[in-house]
Amino acid sequence: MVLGLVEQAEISFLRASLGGDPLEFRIFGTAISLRRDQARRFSVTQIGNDGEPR
Amino acid sequence: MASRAEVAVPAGKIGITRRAAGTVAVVGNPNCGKSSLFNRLTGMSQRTANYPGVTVERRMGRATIGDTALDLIDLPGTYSLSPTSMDERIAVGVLFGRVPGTPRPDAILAVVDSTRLYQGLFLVQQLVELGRPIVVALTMSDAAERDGLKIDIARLQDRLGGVEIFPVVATTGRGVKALEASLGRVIASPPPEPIASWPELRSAVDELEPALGPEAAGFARAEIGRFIVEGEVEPETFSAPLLPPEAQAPLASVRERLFGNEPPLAEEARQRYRWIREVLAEVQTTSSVVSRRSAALIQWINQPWPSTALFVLSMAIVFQAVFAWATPFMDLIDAGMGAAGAGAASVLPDGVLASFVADGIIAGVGSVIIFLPQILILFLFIILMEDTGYLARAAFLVDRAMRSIGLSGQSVIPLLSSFACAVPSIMATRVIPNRRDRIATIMASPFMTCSARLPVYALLIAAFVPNRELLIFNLQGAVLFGLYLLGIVGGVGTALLLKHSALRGAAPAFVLALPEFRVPNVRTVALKLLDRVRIFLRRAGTVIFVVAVIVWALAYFPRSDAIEADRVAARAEAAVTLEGGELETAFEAIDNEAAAEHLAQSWLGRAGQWVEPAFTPLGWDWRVSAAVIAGFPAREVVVAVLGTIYAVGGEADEASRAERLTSATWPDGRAVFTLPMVLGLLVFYAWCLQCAATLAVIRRETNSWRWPVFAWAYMTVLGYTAALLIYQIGSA
Repeated sequence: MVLGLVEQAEISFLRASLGGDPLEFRIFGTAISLRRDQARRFSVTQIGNDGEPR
Repeated sequence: MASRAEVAVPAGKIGITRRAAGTVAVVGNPNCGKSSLFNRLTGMSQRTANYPGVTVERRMGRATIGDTALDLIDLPGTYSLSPTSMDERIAVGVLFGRVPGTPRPDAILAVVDSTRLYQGLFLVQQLVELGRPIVVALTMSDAAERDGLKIDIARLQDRLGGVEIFPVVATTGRGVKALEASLGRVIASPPPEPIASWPELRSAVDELEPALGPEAAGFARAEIGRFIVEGEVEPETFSAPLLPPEAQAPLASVRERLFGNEPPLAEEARQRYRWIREVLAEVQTTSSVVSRRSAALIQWINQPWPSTALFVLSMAIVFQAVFAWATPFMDLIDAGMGAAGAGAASVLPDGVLASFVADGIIAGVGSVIIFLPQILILFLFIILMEDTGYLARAAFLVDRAMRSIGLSGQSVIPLLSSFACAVPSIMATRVIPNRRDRIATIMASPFMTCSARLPVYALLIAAFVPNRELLIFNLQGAVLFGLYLLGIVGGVGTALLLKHSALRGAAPAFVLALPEFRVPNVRTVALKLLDRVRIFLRRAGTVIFVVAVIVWALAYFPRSDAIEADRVAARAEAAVTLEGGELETAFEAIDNEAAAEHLAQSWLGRAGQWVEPAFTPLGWDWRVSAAVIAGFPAREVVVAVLGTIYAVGGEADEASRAERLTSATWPDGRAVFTLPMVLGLLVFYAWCLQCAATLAVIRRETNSWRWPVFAWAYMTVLGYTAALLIYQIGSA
């Protein structure tokens, strides 16, 4: 939460580490790492380049 | 106290003494370039000490700006004012003036990484709400420019209630002048205008403040705001004092109205980040990023497989450095200390003083500084990894693998360092935020085969393991490899055991910010290195030295005049019949015999005889037992003690020592050093915690005697049991 994983935040998935866990995301220019079981607790909507859900 | 706060400032040619105008806290997210900026502003005028009762270091420094002197405190990095670790608790505690011995800062220097405004502005909002004069430094503005990031400073300043903002590059000093000028005025400047990031919280504070009654008048508005968000937290070190009981009802009703059923911290994040997104949309523009080749390279390297290759390569370099580069220096120190000891012995009259200086003092100092080359190199690499941001990348890479053995990704660098020496490794566990992971890593570290175990392994393997081929392996090499494996198994097993017993708990949130790669600053690296070496010398060095002197005394006293008289008589007798080289050899043999006899009846020798029954089941005679006892404070001593006790001299070469060990027998003529006994002894060495420096560092880093005592007892029992089983089964 403190790193800014909140409602409405735009996040992009970058890559998974060795063996598929943890995962690396980019949120407003910062790379952060989340373990798979933590990432699972977030719900996301895919958006297009215009910022609208698609 | 007054004298400490005074400093001489050259004003014209007359030195005048001036008190600092005030204290400024330097606050920011972890890895935001805060320490580089702090170093830039304070130069070499830094004092480090520990915060009371904890192992976190407090760095203070004096910045002289024109004719104003300011005391700067470099606070540990934090993402918010809701602390989760000890480091963060201290940062927040100091800001609210709750840490004894550290003044409540008069003003704040907020440090924000320009490329990570999103996270940085969260903390800045909270800092502005403290209602104290504040200046913001936007670090790494060069990196932001390179990434095509434009920040409208004037606009941002507006949104932050008129706070002055300065883009700087701490490593080159760009923009620092303007920042300094502003800092010079900051103490006297008015606090910032409140910002409109979360108006509901502000009105809640307005409402609660009068309701708290006169007893709560001592709390700052920002503190009341934290009470509203965090509720009353369990009192912990440096946490807020409790609110008076009559404040509970109004607090609860305000919280109820503000949050309803929402978790307050989540609501705070939602509100504040909503505001941040609004502000960023206004002030930050990303021009079409020119794709840079270096950025593309870094992106490529961060892929799992290139990243793994880089990890293996960098670890190989570290090990090469620790063992190959450090060895010449260590040999040099060893030779130097040997020469100094011999020199002292030749100058001083034979007797207790000469022995005390040569074998006690000089050997004691030597046993401390012999570690320095390796420790310097290890620390240098660890600091470089920290400052380039690679440490977090390595943790990300191996997190899954490390988790399967009960540790976390951040444990990997400390654990690998412990193959050279457990002392820097345990100090490096500070990067592990989760306490349980950190303790488990500390407990696993001493199992890894450190460089001090190698001489003992080398001696015993060379003497007793046949040098022949086993399939494609050399048997001696295979045994050495097996001992390394044994260390790993012991460490991993211990970590798993602890994580399933004393350190059991839910998997911690592993949310790791992965910093971009950056070129480290030479000065910051040098200062950090100096700091760690100083800690090693002060904390571990004194322990090693004292222990070395104690072992010397145990091995020297009581002195027997009869042995000395026999030695003199034997030398005189030899001088009659022999001459030249033969006489020298005879003298040496006589001296070595006398040294062995002296040691046999010294406190150490007696202790060996006294504990022999306990070690007989392991196949050790009193000599081996005495050597092992001598090795408890520092395991590398054992080789020298075995040399003395078997009368080949403490400095004998490996071959003669090995030969003498092979011919050692029990009183009934059986050989002492049988293969099962030697294998047991090796395993004992692999698992036993024979290192006072490690114990001292565990004590320091865990801030309690519980863990070092546990580690020592546990590892000793483990080593003893294993040696017992191997000897008994092997001899049956």
